[in-house]
Amino acid sequence: MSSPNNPSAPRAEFRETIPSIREEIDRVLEACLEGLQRCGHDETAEFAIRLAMEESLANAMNHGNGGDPSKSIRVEFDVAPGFFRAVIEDQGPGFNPDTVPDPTAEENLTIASGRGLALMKAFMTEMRVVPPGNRIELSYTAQS
Amino acid sequence: MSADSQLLRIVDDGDVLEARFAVDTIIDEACIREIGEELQAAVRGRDEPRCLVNFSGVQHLSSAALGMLIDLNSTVQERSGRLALAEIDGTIAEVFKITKLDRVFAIHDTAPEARAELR
Repeated sequence: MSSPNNPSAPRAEFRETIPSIREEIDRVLEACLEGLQRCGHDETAEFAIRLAMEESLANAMNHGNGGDPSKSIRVEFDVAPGFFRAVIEDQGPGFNPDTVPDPTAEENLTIASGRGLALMKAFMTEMRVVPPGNRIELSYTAQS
Repeated sequence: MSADSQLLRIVDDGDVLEARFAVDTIIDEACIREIGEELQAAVRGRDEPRCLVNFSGVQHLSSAALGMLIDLNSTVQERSGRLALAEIDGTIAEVFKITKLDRVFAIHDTAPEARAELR
């Protein structure tokens, strides 16, 4: 695994404030996938990062921004070989992750929604909800 | 009998409804909604539906896709039917395991195994 601080390693970065609409999320995901491929991430990493980015961006659009297309989402990501980090920030009031029901609890298993956070936590090396809860920080470090 | 769309192919052999995805990525919410509507329409069209969702070729899915499958399972069960999933790739199988949905759905390694179980 290369260090993210190696100046000669391939890198990709993205820093934009995008409209809170599906087409823009798809554009971010495409840019992310392209960066991952350029930096040599394997299929396992691609799957994990694509899933976490999809979940965090969809949450920002649907829950944080309440589906309001006039709102925006701040997206930043950095990719290097074996390394990925991202910040997704919406314009909503935020939420307390401790109050989100556990989707793996027996009584919640047949509820159709509420698995995004659990998947982000499971597939990322680190996932942090920054108070007041409208900013998600993701990081992924490939296992050597 | 079969019904094809850009997203899904549903084959009804009169015994088991088998749905195969025509896309390898099931993350876009609009696509998931459309897939869900097609599957719901197929199972609502019969009593005691036996439905197989074949994940062959699917490489990515999101939590919204899981929600769509949970809703489908509810509809199938309301109609006293049965739903089975099969041919799930290793990483996607991990998603079902992490969310403990491997305890909710009847998951089989292969489509023939799932068909045999549904019959």
